[in-house]
Amino acid sequence: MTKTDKFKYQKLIERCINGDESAWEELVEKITPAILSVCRIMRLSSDESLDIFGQVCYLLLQNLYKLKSSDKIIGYVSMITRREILRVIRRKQFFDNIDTEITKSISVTKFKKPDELLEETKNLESLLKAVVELPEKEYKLIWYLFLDDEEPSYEEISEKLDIPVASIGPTRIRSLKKLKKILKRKGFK
Amino acid sequence: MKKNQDRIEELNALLKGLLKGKQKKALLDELQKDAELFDMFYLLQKMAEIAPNRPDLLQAASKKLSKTLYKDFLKEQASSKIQIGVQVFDSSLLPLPKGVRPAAVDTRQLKYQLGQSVVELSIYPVTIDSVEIIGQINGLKKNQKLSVTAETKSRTQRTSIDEFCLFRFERVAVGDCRLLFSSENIKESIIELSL
Repeated sequence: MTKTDKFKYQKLIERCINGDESAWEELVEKITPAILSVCRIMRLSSDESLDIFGQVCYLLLQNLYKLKSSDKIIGYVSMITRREILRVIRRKQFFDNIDTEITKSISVTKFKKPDELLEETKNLESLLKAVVELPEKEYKLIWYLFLDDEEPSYEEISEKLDIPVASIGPTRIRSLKKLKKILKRKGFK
Repeated sequence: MKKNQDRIEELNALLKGLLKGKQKKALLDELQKDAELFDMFYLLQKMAEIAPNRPDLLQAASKKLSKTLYKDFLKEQASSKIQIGVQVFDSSLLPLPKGVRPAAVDTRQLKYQLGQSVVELSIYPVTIDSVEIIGQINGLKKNQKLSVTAETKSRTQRTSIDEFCLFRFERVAVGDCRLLFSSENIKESIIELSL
């Protein structure tokens, strides 16, 4: 990540602290995959995932002033997401131990072994950290192409990023190659 | 051989299961031989793992929740005299499971962070213009007494929490409602909801 990008993230955090709603929306856009992808791997229900999301956002807001780089934010968000999920799992296990047909029917979610899950979520965390390390324009392109739930068309992306449609393909491959380099540096498996 | 930069669409099609027959076999063979192409395919595969399931309704619910949460949080930060509840969960934002009609799901679950405590609310419709509110407060000190007031445009009702920190209002008019939590030794707290 360039110095300019680091400065931009610091500004983004400062704007959030100062009550700028658009800055908070931008930050939420960056952290949402880190939370929801971990919830998906852990096979949490929609209710549980939204519950985790709310808790993580609340804790992030409370501690925002301590976090001064995007790298730290993704790390922090992933860490508290895992912690909050463990809390949900413990609560489920509590219900599993109460051996009744009703609670059995409530707690149907099965989990992988903790070490397997940890490895999987840490790998995804590295990928997300690498994505946010890309220069702003390339980060946005990767976001629109792979992570935006609205799945914008090439024409819409071209308009949003102010680049010709024809240059989306070459920029995409350049961005992916940069991403590979960052991941290699981070020891991504 | 085509350059990798021309192959992203093809690799994406393979990932999405859109390639069939000879075309699929040819690309799979190529992936085995070309390490660089395989690396790109692996990266795209990992990107797909962190990508939302499109259209991701959970992501849409998260966006809405994050907006309310931020507004509540700012209000809470700005208020020095009264503690304001920050909404951290609202089941009504969630997409309904496939095949379930909206009328079949009538209970709404809400969760608020109130300082160190968490207030969980269940809202059940009673009539077309009234609901029942059952709430529980977690994180209170043992045997702490707390009174809860529900204020709407037309009526103010008051109750106290029981030994399980539960409280209940049998009939509250739909519309804007304010729940006030007060006790002798803690800061007065407010939750604002739209029923």
